[in-house]
Amino acid sequence: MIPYKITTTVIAAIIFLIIFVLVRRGKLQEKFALTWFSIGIIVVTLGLFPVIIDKIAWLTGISYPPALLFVIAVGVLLIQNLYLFIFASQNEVRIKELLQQVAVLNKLVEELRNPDNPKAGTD
Amino acid sequence: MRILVLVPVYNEWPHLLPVLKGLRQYFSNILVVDDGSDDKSFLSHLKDGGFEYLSFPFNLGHWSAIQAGFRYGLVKGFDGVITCDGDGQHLPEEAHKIAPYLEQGYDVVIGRDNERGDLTKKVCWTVLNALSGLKIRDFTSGLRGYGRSAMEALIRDPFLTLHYQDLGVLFMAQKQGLKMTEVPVRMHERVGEKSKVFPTLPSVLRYLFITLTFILVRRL
Repeated sequence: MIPYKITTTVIAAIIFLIIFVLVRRGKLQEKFALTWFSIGIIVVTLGLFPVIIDKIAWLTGISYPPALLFVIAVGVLLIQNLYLFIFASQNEVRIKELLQQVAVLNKLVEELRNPDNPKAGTD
Repeated sequence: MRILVLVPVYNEWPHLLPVLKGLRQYFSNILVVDDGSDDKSFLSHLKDGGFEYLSFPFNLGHWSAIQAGFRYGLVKGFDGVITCDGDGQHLPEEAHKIAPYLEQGYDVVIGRDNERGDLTKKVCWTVLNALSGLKIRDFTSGLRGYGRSAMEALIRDPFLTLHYQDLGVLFMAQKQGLKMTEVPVRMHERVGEKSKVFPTLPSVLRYLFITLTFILVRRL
């Protein structure tokens, strides 16, 4: 049986590597990479030294250390999810406004192209 | 006063051309807004008929189509806009009754049909009326007039999240201090097609939830 520290380190390293590759390929924008690299570094640190969780749990009076880990993980994911929802709503509004303007501009271009068309000018 | 008639359309081609021909007898400026319909071939029919149109590459929602029309009207210097459904529900001669009210200086004019709606809808309306504090009776009516100042106000941010031309629009318009009035009109029974706002029960519930949230978060 291998020591559990190796297992945690390997899992953490894989997660960090995935984030790294995604940023490199441009799938994750650099501005989001900051958050994800921080998360990656935390994961690797905890993977190398799982005893940190036990220490914090002891300090905060949590008798079952893995529970602390889950609380932190759920909290972080919840905040990120909320952020994504805000981001999506914002984008929808922007797309709407842009498409409305594109539709109007298309029409105006059409009118400029056919100036002799009596219907093109609206008067 | 120069008025532009907006006809937002989403997959309702069969009834569109007769509606447009009727409108043409009363109005000289008509603009069809295609809200990302699946079949774009009718656009060439519009062109042949001498009708002008805007077109979205995909569906953005009824209200968004109207906003695009506002933008066009503003660029072209129109003083007001009348919105009219393309399914034949709104009669051209009734749409014509909206114009004088815009000339009198009202920012938003709503064409109200007293006979419209079954019991479920009436219950919905009463509840929403009470919650919104609006004195408007028929707030899902698509037959409306908007003055230039309303057009300018209604294309800005809080109005971009809306989906239908309904209570949310009126509620925000009232909050911004726009002058509103209702005009009694006659309407046709809808031909074949289902209502845009109320097609099925789940969508009614979804609509109610969205509208209630929209209003309540702004009133509290």
